[in-house]
Amino acid sequence: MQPRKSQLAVIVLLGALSFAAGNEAEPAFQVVVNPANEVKTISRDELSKIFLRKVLAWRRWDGEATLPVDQKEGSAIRDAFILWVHKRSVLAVSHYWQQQALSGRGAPPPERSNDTQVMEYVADNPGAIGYVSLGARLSGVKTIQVTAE
Amino acid sequence: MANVRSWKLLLAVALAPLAARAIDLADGKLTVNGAGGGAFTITDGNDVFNTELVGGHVGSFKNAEFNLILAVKPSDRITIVTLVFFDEIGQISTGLDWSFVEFMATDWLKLRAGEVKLPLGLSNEVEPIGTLRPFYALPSAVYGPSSIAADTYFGVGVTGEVPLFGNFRLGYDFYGGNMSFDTAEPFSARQPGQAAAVPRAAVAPVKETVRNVLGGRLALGTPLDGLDVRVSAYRGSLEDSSLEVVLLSAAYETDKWLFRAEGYRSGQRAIGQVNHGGYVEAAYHLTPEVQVAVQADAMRTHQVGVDDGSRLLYHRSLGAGLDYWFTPALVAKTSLQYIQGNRLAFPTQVSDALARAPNEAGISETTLFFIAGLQFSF
Repeated sequence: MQPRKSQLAVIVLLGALSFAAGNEAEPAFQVVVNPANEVKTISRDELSKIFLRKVLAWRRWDGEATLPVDQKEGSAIRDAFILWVHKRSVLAVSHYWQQQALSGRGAPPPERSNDTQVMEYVADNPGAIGYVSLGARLSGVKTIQVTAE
Repeated sequence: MANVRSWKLLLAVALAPLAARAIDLADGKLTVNGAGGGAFTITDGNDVFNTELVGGHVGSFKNAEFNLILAVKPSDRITIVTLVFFDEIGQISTGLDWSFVEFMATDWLKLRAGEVKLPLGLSNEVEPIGTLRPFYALPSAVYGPSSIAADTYFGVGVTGEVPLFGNFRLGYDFYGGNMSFDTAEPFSARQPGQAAAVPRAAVAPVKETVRNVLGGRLALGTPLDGLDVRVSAYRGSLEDSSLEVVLLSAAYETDKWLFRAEGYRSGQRAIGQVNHGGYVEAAYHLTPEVQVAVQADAMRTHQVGVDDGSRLLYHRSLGAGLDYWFTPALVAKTSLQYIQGNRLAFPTQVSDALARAPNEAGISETTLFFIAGLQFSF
């Protein structure tokens, strides 16, 4: 049976939407976790959900609470993180948090002003996860590999 | 004095969001957000009502509001959220708008109980946040006194988001309880006996309670960033009739463009009333600071006992807006709206006008509505 034109249009639309993916280049940051964290790798999608507060527990670590920490709003590293991990524009993520917070649906992760402060937060909290610049000297934290999917 | 007081408050809070960030204490255990604004409004004759402001032929600064949202997390999975407000929309009021507790059972299921913001359409939950839209006020055909958009429901609900195939997601809300919304029915003066029975009666929005509400909203998330498609519906009981509402919504937003469209049908069978309404709007950022916007909205009521040709039964409007965004959290807006029909723009002493001229000649069919204001969030 031949598909109808309307069915073809829907298939083409869904295909186009599925193709709409973000930047596939290597990330311009490294993701860091507490040394006690047992998770070795994390997918980009999982990382996005943790930072958008859609996943509250580490699935491969006895349900330990996830505690994401952001870099300062407007910083270059935070903008790069948003584009690579969430595949969304900085403004779209800013609107997402305005909608979430002001409708009582959730609050954004705490933020820190620089790499050192992010690492201090991660070192102090076993379930914490953050991101720092590629050249940062790691202290009290370890890196975790991010897979594309 | 009241005007001076409102605008002092507005200026004080408007300077705060230049930092544009929620106040976060104890690493997220307590978060404080805020949103609000103030506007000058004037029309060329009729009075105009909306949830965020009122306008009349005497220009008014009495359109100021400030909302403070407090979110407390006593544990990882429990959040208690409260919104307190101060506003002067015609008159000063302060109070608790909503307050509820939320328990996150799983990553895809949250339970809510209390006075919860009503999940309806694209904008009902974020109505106080002017920085999420191009016009100062939400379109009145859907979010004004059109008898569908309650602020909150008092009851219990579930909400969450589940992944579908590919990168599609389905957000859902289901709820049950009681709620109340603003309703204004100028055509009631045209119902048999009304105009004569209530001389000098003012018709302004009143609160109407809907009991035993059951409703929900489904939101389809797509891999195309910014595309949002939703369907909302609920059913409940008014004092003299049942009420059924279905609302379809779609939006697409990029850093430069914004398109939104919503349309609904509501019915109150026992009293023979049916309403249709909707709007389309588009906005474009000429620069990161300067945004232009256009909007068309319309509403039509059919009421048994009222001549369908009455201008009190329909509303059509075209609007244009110009905004200046100091930051994404602070914006100055102006807009001019041309309104036809008196369903949502009418003289509050509509009964008197009808008593003087029963053929509605005493009421101007068109209204020009100007707004200039400032809105912020943090």
